[in-house]
Amino acid sequence: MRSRVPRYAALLAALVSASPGLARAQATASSGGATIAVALDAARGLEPRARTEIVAVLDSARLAGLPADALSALASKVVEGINKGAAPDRIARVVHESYSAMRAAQSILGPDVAPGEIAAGAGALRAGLAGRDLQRIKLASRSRPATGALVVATDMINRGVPAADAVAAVVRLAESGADGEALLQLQSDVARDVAAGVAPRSAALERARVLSSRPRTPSSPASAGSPSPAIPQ
Amino acid sequence: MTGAARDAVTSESDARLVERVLSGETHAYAALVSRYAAQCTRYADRVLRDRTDAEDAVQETFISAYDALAHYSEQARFGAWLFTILINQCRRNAQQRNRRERLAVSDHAALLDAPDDRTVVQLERDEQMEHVRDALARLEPLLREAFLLRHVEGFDYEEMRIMTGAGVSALKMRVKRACEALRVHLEVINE
Amino acid sequence: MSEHRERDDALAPSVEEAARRLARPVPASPSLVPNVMAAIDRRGLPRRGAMRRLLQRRMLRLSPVQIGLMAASIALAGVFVGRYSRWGIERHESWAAGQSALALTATAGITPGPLTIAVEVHPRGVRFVLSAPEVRNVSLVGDFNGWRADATPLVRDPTTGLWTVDLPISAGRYSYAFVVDGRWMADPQSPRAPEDDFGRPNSVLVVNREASRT
Repeated sequence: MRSRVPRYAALLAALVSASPGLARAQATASSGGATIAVALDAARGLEPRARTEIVAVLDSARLAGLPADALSALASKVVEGINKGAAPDRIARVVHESYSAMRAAQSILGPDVAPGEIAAGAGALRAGLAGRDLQRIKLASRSRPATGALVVATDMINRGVPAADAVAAVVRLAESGADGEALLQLQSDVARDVAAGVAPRSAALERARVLSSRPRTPSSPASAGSPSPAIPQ
Repeated sequence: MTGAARDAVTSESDARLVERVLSGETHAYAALVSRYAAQCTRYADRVLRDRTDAEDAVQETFISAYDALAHYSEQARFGAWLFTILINQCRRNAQQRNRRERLAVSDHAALLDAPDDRTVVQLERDEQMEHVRDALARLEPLLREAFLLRHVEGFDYEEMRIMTGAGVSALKMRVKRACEALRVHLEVINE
Repeated sequence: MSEHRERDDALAPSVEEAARRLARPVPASPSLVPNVMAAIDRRGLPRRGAMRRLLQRRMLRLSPVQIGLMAASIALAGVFVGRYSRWGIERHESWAAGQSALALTATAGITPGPLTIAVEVHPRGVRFVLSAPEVRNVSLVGDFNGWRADATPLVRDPTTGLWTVDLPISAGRYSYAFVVDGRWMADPQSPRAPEDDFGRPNSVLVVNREASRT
């Protein structure tokens, strides 16, 4: 493993110096993820009906103009399902649902999306967010990628926070200018509170309130990551 | 296994068992699990209406409860505290299942008809019981939850307030509405 | 559970009967206790609040060791300082350079096994660290390596017992999981993953790379 370090160093140096567009186009190759071709190849061993559906979905995705990272995420779903030993028709159904959700996210989030944003938006839609919620989160994120906010909102919904409150929490945080670190703090604080028995809605709203009221200073390593105090019950 | 916090297997109280677990005797947790397993399974089965989902929810609840055990304080009865976690777990499981069954979203997306691959295990062939389960299934989730907590699991409103985060008057209203909706379905619709 | 059920309003007979039927015992799964005990067996002790706050750092959580939690944290801090030196990157420098990262781990399902997972994002890649001294092999699977269980093994440091791998991962959102001694798992700290499409737990990693000022 240690012998891979020099190779990584060269690859990383290339990545760091690459232009954003090129970096995105290379997202698949550089991250080692699945491409459409890889997914099609992997699907070859599936039973015909499922395979046909998967091929059709991947083809539609390419024609629909989904960006490279979203195509990669969709292709990755196929590979993930196969490697996890899922039933072929389940894989086909998941890929189809994912594609539909990605198309919806694409239309809602618009053309100016960061890598991963469409996949994150698709996950949020599948978790129960409405299209207008995606728009709100995107707007609240301003020039920052909305990926993190979408993922955190989705995660909170999965812990029992009602969708409207999850959206309100991340929007509040995003509008306050909070960065990725604050979103991460929100996610981990809410997760901990819910596990401790705090009602999910209360946890999300209270943590967002506290975090959004913190003064925005250049990140200090000492404070980054330290958990917020428990909410008094 | 309502009421008393002792059972035939061990005479130790819940609080004592928790203390033993926290001081390193993790095997003592098995006694707590055994003590509340049936009641948790019953609630989860009634609320989720699917035995497999219910068993998943109960298992995750006990594991989460273990992780959070350090936060348990004796001011709450252990069973009520455990049920707080179970209620939230069941809500999450229900949401997950709903998403699996939901059609694709937005005007721009193709609508899908996801096949329902859930297996509903019928534990009771008793026709009356199926009728009751059907009536329960028609309730809004929060009403169903409140009814089960109050009239099946026997919690009082103060405990329910802590467990669900809702106010006592809201909970009473939910229970009342649930009872009325059940009555209508059980008596009127099926005449 | 309460000893005395207060009767607020009298129930209609049909509802009373329904409640009685619903209160019939439902046996728990016979595998419940063994599964739960197996899951917690490798978790160690539930941590008391104060110690947990002291030791928790972002997504990092130390697994309890017999030596004592403080000793483990000191050893861990020493390891991370050493690691940073090897990469030539100081954590606070990476923030000052405008790199922003969000490592989010969330799980689905039951995930018995080692607890400690840290994901650190540097300008040059992402580091995954897992504390699991007693297992035999650990690998990373996810969107960034085609979900191949053999593609990205973690390497165990014999001194610290930590399993580590560094990956060049470009900006984006990725699902991933660990395969530990053949079992799929994610961060057991959190109960749910955004998408539990195939019945096995996933974590989510988000990497944002804003324009570097360097």
